[in-house]
Amino acid sequence: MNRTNVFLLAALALAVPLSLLAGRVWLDPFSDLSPNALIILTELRLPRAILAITIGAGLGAAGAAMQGYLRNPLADPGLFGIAPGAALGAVLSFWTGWASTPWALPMFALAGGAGAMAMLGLIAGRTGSVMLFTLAGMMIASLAGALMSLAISFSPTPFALSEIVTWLMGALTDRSWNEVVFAVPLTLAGIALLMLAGRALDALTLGETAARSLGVNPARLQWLMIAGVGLTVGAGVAAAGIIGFVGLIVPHLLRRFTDRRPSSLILPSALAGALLLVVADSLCRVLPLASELRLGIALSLLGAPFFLGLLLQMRRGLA
Amino acid sequence: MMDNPITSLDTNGGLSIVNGCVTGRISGISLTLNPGEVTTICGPNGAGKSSLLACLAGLLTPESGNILLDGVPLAAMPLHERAQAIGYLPQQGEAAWDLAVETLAGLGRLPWRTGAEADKAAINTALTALDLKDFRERPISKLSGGERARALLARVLAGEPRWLLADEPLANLDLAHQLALLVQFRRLAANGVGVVLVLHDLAQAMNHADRVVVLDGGHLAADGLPSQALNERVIEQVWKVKAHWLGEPGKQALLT
Repeated sequence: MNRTNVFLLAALALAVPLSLLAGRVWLDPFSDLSPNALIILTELRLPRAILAITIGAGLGAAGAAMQGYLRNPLADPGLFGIAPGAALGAVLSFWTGWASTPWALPMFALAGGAGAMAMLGLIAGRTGSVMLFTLAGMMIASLAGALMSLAISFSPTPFALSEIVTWLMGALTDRSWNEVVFAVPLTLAGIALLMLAGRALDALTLGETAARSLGVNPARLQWLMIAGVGLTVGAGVAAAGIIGFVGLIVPHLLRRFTDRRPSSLILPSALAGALLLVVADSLCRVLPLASELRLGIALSLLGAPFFLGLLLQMRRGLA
Repeated sequence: MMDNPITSLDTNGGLSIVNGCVTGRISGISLTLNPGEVTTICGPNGAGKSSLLACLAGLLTPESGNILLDGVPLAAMPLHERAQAIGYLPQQGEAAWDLAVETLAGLGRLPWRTGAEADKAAINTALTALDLKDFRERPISKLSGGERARALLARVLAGEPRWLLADEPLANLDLAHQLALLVQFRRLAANGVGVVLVLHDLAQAMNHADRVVVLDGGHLAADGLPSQALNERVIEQVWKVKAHWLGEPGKQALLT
């Protein structure tokens, strides 16, 4: 346990209780909770906080592993096409009208993510080549994107259209224990697989050939990456829609606090991703707006200027 | 045909390739390399030097033929055991992340699961051997070209390999750093490590190797002591260049 992880854990331990109290209805921890407040706490805020932690941790860990795998600080878990695949699944559930049935939406989304994972595995085959794999991921992402646009433009009813568009923006509004039940175990399993890949990702720092000379099996590493990123991102999209930037920004920000090996970045990125989503989601809830700000939009709004700052910093370095 | 005094294909001790073929790269190469020697692989561009080295390192599987380490086929060895025995230094030494020198060297310990103490000792030994002790905290982006090359070699040495295979380790280094690395390789060989280098500079091969393997068009053209394998007749045959060796043994220069 190094200092970064301890600090992030402490911050999380502080942020989660605060987030449970914050919202349109503020709860007072020092008075007895009314039955309504108790329901708000246990049926709305608690599952929502758990989802924020889970999805943030998954995105952070997946982003750190992806950047290590592609040896690129600008890589994002979305690159593998798994998030678009899962989103396509969810869109289809709206399109077909299944979305109103309990469990159908997340199941469709998970199936879409699994489909993208299977396609990745089939295309990249057993070569373990990172470049082939990245191109396959981009192909799947653009195919899923095109199919989503198709589904939207042919949407059966205006109602379905607005449902799809709103859902795609990503949010934790109105989520319940139903989402927690599948998102938590899948994300935990995914993070565990990514951690297992840690040593191989470290070796990959030296390039693919040197990594193989250090005993890395590229096919096994690829399998771990597909399954690990697939489970975390797929579960995240199924539970909350598309939430961008977390997987890109969080590892990027934290790298300087680690020894820069990919394996030492995975856990802090998971913790910081969880912290970021808990805080961002609480802010979305308490902002005095007519309707709640969508989490996905909030993060993009936050992420773009942040990224601009990074770019300017890089530009200064180049000048 | 071949100047080949060392061809006793006793594959039981050493690193051997038996009748190795990779289409378009190497064909029918058989030789056994000995531990404790500095062997250089020479040849014109496209002769198959890097392919032969990659085969010997277990990174390229020959379509036919076998690679044996002390009589055991590399293909049958668990990956981590092969990685413990054979260290490989690629031609393009890259590092995707700006690791500190010590962390970089630590990557060489990945095949081992011997615990933090043994790792630390091995990393220290490697850094000391390459004169990098004062740089252990320094990120590689802040190193000069020569220091960087040494840091990448320290990564391989930290893995305590019994074989060191390096693909053009002296490329892009200035003369002083080239000589410093050659001294390192000699020291490793004296400690019983089998050192195999792909070298372009024939004078360096002549002066610093115990044995030279010459490839031409994927075939073995010569194999033996430097003075035999790199004699003027071989150089004319393989490189199509008329050349003369000048100077005393160990300090020879090639005049073209």
